[in-house]
Amino acid sequence: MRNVKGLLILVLWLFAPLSWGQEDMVVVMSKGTPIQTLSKSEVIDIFMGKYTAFPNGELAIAVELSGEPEIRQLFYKKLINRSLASVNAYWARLKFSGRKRSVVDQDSVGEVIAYLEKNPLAIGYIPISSLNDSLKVVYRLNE
Amino acid sequence: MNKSALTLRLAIVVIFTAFAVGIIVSQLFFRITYVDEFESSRKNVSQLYKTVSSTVSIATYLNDQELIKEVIAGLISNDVIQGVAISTESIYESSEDFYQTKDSQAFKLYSPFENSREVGVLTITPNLEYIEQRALEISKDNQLSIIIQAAIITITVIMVSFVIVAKPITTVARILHSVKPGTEARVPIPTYHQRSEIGLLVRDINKLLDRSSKQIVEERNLRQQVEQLSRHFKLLFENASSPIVLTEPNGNIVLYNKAFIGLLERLGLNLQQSFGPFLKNIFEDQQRLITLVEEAFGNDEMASGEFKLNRSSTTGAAVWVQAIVNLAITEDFHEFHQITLHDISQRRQQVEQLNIKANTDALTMLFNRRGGEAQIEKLIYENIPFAMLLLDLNKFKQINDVYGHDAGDKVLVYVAMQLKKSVRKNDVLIRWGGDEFVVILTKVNARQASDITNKIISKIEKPYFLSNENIDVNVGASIGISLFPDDEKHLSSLVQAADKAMYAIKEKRDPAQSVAFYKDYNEQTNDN
Repeated sequence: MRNVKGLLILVLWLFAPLSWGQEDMVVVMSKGTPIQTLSKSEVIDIFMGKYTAFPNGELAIAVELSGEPEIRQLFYKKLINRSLASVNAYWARLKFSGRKRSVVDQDSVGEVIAYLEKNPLAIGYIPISSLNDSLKVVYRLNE
Repeated sequence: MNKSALTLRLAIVVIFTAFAVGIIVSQLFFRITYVDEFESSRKNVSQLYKTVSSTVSIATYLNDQELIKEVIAGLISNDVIQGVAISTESIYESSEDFYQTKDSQAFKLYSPFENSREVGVLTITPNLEYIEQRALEISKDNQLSIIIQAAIITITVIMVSFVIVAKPITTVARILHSVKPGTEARVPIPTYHQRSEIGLLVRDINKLLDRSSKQIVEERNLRQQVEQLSRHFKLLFENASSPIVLTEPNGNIVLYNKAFIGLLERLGLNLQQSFGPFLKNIFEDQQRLITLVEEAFGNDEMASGEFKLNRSSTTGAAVWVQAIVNLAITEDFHEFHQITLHDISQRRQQVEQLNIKANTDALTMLFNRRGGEAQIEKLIYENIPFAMLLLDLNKFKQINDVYGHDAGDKVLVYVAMQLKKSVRKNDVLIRWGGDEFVVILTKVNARQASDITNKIISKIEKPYFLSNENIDVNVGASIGISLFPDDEKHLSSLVQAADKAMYAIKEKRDPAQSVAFYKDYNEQTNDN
């Protein structure tokens, strides 16, 4: 009886983040990609426009989840600890110096997954709960 | 202009000090300004870096050459920056003429997304020339203001010190310089200095002037008194009837009065520098004078004595003085002899005349008995041999009785005259009393005495004409002779001896025998 109660508490604690919308985020690619894992810096470089290619030289296509500002906000918060506004300002500044951002915008998590499945060199981010078998986690964002 | 004048000195010191301090301060100011400027330029550079830091971070993170160039261009437009260089892992970009110095500042650049990820270096070299230029400009302005300030202060200090200190002192000094000691003139206290040190100084100066003028007046009065006193003394001294002479111990005459000159003239002498100590050269008995003075001085007394001078006056009279010699010692231990000579010649003369009168027989003008005795005592005292003739007149009593005393007197005068004719100058004639005479023949032997005696008798026996009676009278004489020192050695015994001899011969009543020597009489007596 006591053991059951302790287990319950443990489960509740483990699932607590889900219930608060603080879900873990994962950076994913299509299952068929040759890329295995990426470092945090590599993820940042790809998403912040430093590199447009993977370490192996393949061109990377960053997929932005434009339609889900909350998820997007959470992603950037976890990746570079910046607000979405700050990220937008960053891009706006670069725009003046003539640098063009090469990203693919998708409206929903489903669309992102669909795009990733079709493009093995595309890289995107989704909440861990939306992860399915067709995708490969190349980087896990957690605190 | 007076080089030592207070104002000029003060001005020179103030100007030099201001100049020196100005130079030092402006140099110091330049250094400080330069360091400040340099420090502020470093701050500027840091601030500039902060301004561009986010952009440059992004630029280096992205290796964005365009953005990097833009940043460099932006930084280089600042005057304080000489050059800028940015290096990333793949790019190196710098401004034109960029060089690195020890003053260059390097800033590490981090990824805008990862604090620990270094993405490049920004190097900024400050524009030292510009900084120096600015420091110079600033300090130049400062120098100018310091110079202006120093000039104003200098002029103010000089003017103030001139007006407040130098001018009053100069005025006081000038006035004091013209003040004659002993007058009523005083130094006025300069305006606005009633309570300052200058006022105090002037007051003290005036007090000193007061004191000195009082002293001068007192001294003047004292001097007048002394002068008056000395005039009186001089008058007293000059007009003293007695000669007064002040000499040094060696005899040099220091001071003398008119009476002394008068005395010298009387003696027929000229004034000399010295007449010897105590003027001894004008005295007859110099040894007695010296002994007297030395004895008196030895007893701390003044010497006083009567002395005959060794020269007679020009009229031939002997000059006698009472000399008083006094030892005077001045305050500074100089010895002087004060010699006063009182003329006592007249008194001396009177005494001498009285003396002569007392010793002279008024009728015959021979010595009387008193005078004669003194003469004989003197010869005895001096041990001069002589023969004493005691002469007694014969037949004189009858003349006296018959013709009167006047006739007797005339006979006596006549006899005296005969005696004078018979003896030598040095022989002594005495009217012994009544019709007795004593004749002293000095330095004769018995024979000579006998000769002279015979001569005397023959002259006396000559007849004498009594004009009143118109008759010749003649007297005889009996003479007894005693010899000194052969017969007797004392006056009375000599007289007794002569008397005995004379009576012996008189008793014989023999006109042929009228002279007898005591020694012969003595022999006869002994023979009897």
